[in-house]
Amino acid sequence: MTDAHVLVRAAGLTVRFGSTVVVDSVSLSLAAGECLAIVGESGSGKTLTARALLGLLPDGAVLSADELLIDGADVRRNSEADWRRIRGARVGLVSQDALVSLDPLRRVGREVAEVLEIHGDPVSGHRMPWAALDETVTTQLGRVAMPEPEERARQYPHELSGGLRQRALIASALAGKPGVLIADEPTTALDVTVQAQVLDLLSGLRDDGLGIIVISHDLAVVAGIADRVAVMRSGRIVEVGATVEVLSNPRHPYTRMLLAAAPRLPDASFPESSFPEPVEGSRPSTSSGGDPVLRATGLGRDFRRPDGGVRSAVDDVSFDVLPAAAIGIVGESGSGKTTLARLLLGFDAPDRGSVTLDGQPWSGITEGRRRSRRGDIQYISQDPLGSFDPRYTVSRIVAEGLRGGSRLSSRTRAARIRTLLDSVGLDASLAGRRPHELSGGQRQRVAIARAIASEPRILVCDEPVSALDVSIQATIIDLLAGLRRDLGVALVFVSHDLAVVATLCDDVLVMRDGRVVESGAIGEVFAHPRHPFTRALVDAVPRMP
Amino acid sequence: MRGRFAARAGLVVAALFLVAVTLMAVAPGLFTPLDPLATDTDRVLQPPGWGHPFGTDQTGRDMFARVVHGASYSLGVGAGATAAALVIGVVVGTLVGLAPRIVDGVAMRGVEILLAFPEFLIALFAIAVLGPGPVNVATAVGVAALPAYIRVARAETLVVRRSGYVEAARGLGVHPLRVAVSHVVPNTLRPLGVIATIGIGTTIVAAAGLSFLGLGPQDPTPEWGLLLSGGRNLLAQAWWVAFFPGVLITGTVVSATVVGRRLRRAGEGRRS
Repeated sequence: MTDAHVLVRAAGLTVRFGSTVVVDSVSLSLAAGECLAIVGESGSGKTLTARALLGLLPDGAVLSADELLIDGADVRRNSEADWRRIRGARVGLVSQDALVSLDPLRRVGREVAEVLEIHGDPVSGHRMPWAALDETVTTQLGRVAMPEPEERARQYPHELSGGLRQRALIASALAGKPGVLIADEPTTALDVTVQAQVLDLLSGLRDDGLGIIVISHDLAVVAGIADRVAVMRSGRIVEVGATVEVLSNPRHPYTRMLLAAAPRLPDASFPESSFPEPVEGSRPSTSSGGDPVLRATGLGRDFRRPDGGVRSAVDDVSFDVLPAAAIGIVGESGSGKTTLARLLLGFDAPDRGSVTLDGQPWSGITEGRRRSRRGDIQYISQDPLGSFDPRYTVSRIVAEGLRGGSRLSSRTRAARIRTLLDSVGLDASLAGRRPHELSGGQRQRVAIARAIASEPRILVCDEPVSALDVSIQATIIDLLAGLRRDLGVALVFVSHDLAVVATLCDDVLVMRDGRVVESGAIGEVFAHPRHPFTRALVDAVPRMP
Repeated sequence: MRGRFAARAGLVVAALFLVAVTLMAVAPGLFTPLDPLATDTDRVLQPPGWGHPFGTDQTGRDMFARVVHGASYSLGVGAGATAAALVIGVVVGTLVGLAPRIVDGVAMRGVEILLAFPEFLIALFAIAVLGPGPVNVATAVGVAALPAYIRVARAETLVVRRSGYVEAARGLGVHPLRVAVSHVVPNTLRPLGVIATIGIGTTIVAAAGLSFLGLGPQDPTPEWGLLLSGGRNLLAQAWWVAFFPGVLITGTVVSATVVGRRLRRAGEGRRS
């Protein structure tokens, strides 16, 4: 670390809620032109640490610190008015969800102009004259590489894409010319290609002398941009050091676990060696190996647009899923992945094409005829909590998945439920709990137990691990791989995360604008992408050094 | 802090009042040994005092006994009509909410036409068709309250119907009827129960109103609306004959509303 200009220095920073310590004597410092990453899983205290540097702690939180300097000034005894002079002018904040952080009723330009009105001209610090405001707003938007800044300034947040919204938010955070920018999960809600652009932008701003604190749950995201990494767990910094040092030679077991748990894209230069061996007992899904469990032929689904036109959310998609195969469906948001999953599940009817399950028609028949076969194809969603009746206990939730559950004796049923909970790694003592009393990983396990209760031939998973912490994510992926091996169940795995798909699947379909642009074996597609979109997608995946 | 204390005290008073009125309806003997129908020409229009805490009416009947015994009529009509409206409202509202859009549209336009009339007017129409009498008053009041319950039950059904767990049950191959009974209805009941608590107050007022007009039970039945009506002409000489039934009606309605709103707030906190 250079001794140049220390912008933030904290020592013994502690945040308490009553007697609970949520941030425990954290020490950190940030210099101009430096990027510090704070990495940790949910509940590690990373966000509260960052908020403490802005005086933005929630009600009931008590802050204490041995030292807390911002631009050399002690801010420990700051009043709310003192903090207001710091926020925006000395420390800017960019939060995760730009759509929520931007006022929906205000044009993007106003968002930036407001900061200029409060904190004055970014160069001179004088009050901004009205006439100069528009031009300065345009300059500020230009600084974050917003295309056509004049036009964008007159648009509303909902008219911008996620990436542009994030740029607008960064522009407004920087309009007060702060020396420090705190970015809390700035790219988590973004598609991987857009994420790469925003990271590039942040990296450029850092090179211009801005001090950046970036908070993330994802080590790979910060690997490319951070100079130093602080790993947090249960309110403490367990390891801190230069990024390369921490990632290549982690000392703390928790950092090692995080690194090991993070799914990675196989290295393109050594495709043969670095691919996980196909799961034993599974058959390659594209070559011969029995009749397909599920076959989609020329699937299409149209939706009417508000302007009266028609948009094909899914168009001309065909593929087979063989028994015990695992197929990944990847694509960015809006590419039609979820619509496709719903068509496969028979939750929605295709406008064109057909689906067959075990050789029998599955689309184009009545729900009544589908019902008895529903047990053969099961669904795991991104939001397990929403898929449980809030009044039900775990055992009742799982029991609903059993075929002919009401005809079984209560003893047999209880035994079956115990076996199912055991097979997804849940303790039988959880059977009486209600969904809201479970952790995110436990909930997803309950959802999986319910899905396999009917002994399905195929599981359709829609982003099943996206909402989970990395370490939990890894255990759920292991669980799904194990079920595939032990039960011979085929997987259709929808995800925006290429690395997750690469760990679990043999084959992949790359979707864009409702169409499959490329498909084939994972190793082949990711190592030698033929379609430019696949290439862009693979290149954009953040990598560890 | 002080406001919160006052609100809590109000809630306790309201709850105690409801408990007391319910006890009156179930076991009037606990409150008074006197017969509400026994006349005593020596003690006509006695003001409230020792022996007759609420005074006596023009035939010497003890007003306290009449008010206490009247609770079973008023509360019975209120609770009975509300319960009937709730049950029918849930069944119809759930069916309409799960029905194809065209059925839903037609049914809801009908409900909206009914909602456009004041509830009391609908109750009067119903009495005009059914004729007067205590049971008919309950029916009329229940019919008048019904559209609101249908509407809320349908709205809740539409929310639950699109929830992840209903889709999950569908994905598990659960029969739609079973989904409706085991997932949809139980999850719509909580908000409806709260509305029903507040609704009991409204129904009691409506029932008392019909009795006041002479369309419900007839003298000498001690029904609160009828007592109020009987005391109306005596207001100048004997205020207590109309006053105490009026206090009981008002107190019951306000208490039901206070408790109901409190339940609603608690429910909202739990649902979010």
